[in-house]
Amino acid sequence: MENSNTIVSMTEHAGYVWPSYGVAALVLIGLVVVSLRAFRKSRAQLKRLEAQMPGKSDEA
Amino acid sequence: MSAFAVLFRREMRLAMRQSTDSFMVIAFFVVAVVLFPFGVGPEPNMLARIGPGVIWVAALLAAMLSMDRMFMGDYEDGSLELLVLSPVPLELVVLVKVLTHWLTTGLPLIVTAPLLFVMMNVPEDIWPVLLMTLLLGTPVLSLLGSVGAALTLGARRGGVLLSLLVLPLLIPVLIFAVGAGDAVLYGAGAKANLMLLGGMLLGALALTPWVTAHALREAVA
Amino acid sequence: MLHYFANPTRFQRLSRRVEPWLLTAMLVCFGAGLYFALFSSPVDYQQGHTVRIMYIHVPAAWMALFCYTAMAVAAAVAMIWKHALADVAAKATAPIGAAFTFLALVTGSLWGKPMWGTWWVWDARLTSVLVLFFLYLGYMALRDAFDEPGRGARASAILVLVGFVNVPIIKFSVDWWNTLHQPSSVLRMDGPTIHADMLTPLFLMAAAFQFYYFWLVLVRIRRELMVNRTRALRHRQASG
Repeated sequence: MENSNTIVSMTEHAGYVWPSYGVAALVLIGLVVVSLRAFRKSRAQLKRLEAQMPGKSDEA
Repeated sequence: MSAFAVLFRREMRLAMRQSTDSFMVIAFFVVAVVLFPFGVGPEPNMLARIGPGVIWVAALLAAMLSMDRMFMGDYEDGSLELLVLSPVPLELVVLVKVLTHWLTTGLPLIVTAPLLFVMMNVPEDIWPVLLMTLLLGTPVLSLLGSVGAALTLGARRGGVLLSLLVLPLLIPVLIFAVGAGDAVLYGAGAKANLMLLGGMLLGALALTPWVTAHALREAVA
Repeated sequence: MLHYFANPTRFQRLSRRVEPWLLTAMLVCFGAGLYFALFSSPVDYQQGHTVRIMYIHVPAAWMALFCYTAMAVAAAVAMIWKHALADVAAKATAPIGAAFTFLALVTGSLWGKPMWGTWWVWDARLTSVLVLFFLYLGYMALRDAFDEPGRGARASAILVLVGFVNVPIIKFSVDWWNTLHQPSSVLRMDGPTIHADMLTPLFLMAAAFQFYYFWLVLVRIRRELMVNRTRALRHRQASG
């Protein structure tokens, strides 16, 4: 049954081990993508706004 | 104690004016339990097995129904701000509100419960224990519910949100209350469960008014 | 020291400097951890290859608890010392904690199917993690439920602390309930007797998750600070 230690030889429970790693990758990478996208969007918004109002004393 | 009496009389008068609320809670409680025989079949042993749990879960959900009204009226008409600013400790106000809520929700649930025990074929030996768990447990619902009600004041879809916040926190009460009935059936005696429920009640009584008062101050700030 | 780092500009500068290091450490740990987890760790004699799920499941469950604790500490700091940064940290942590909790549940279920023969068992640990997941959802829902963001921040801070006090009670009651209702047909899994060679991938993956959290939370905090600043500028623009 168990002749080798690596996952390449895994046949028996492959249907459970791979989805576990797959879901983990999907969730963790997905959260990073969502966070970075929100980060860029907010940064662009802030830049635009700061460009509109150059000086802090400029209140008009 | 006169402040307590005045507040209590005010709350009870307001609650009496809204007495249909209590009837709705009871009606919901009964209907929710009565649905179960249709869902799982009318076999008496099966009903007896699940009866205590079903009745307790239905009581939890029914108590949630009226929870969001605890501070809502006072929040909307501005009297909550007056209560916060008044020299009476806000914790006392919270305790009075919780007591009123229990008298208009928890107590009617306890009074109705025996009817449902009969309908769900719950063994008579565990009736007293189950009533005891309701007596100790329903005040905990009102106390923890007051925290949720204060936190969700002014929130969108506050009622649903309140249930989502409070129900997970009430799981221990449910476990020990239903466990008390099982313990009697297994011949183990329900003393440990009742003690734990009593401990939870005391803990909740000591901590929640303080937390709720804090949340109310934030809500009107 | 708290006050020193609570200054948003100083924090921005510092976190920009730290982030690349955290990112590198995370990638190194993930690389090494995945190598050991998938290729160079022994197969459990009882569980076979499914033991490899442990290298995701157990660190994810640790992170679920760690993130909740971090949120509670941040919420307490925000409440007592009124530090805006602590409040932002709590907000930035919540989705990461919820993600780890979700992973712990899904991988637990995927582990349970071959081990227990069913996708879900009301095992004490899985049940407690499920309740923890509800607490995360409640926090995020409450935080989002108000038109005025400050109100949501203060209310959800109280909720986290109430939940934090409750977590041990819930854990205790679920353990107790579980021993009472232990289904007899279910194969008991007291965890594999942990082989020393299994500890390497386990700790590497735990470290990777930990670095992942710190890196991502810094990015998310900086984003929240920018959002707050944008809101303040808009406000000034409208009133000026």
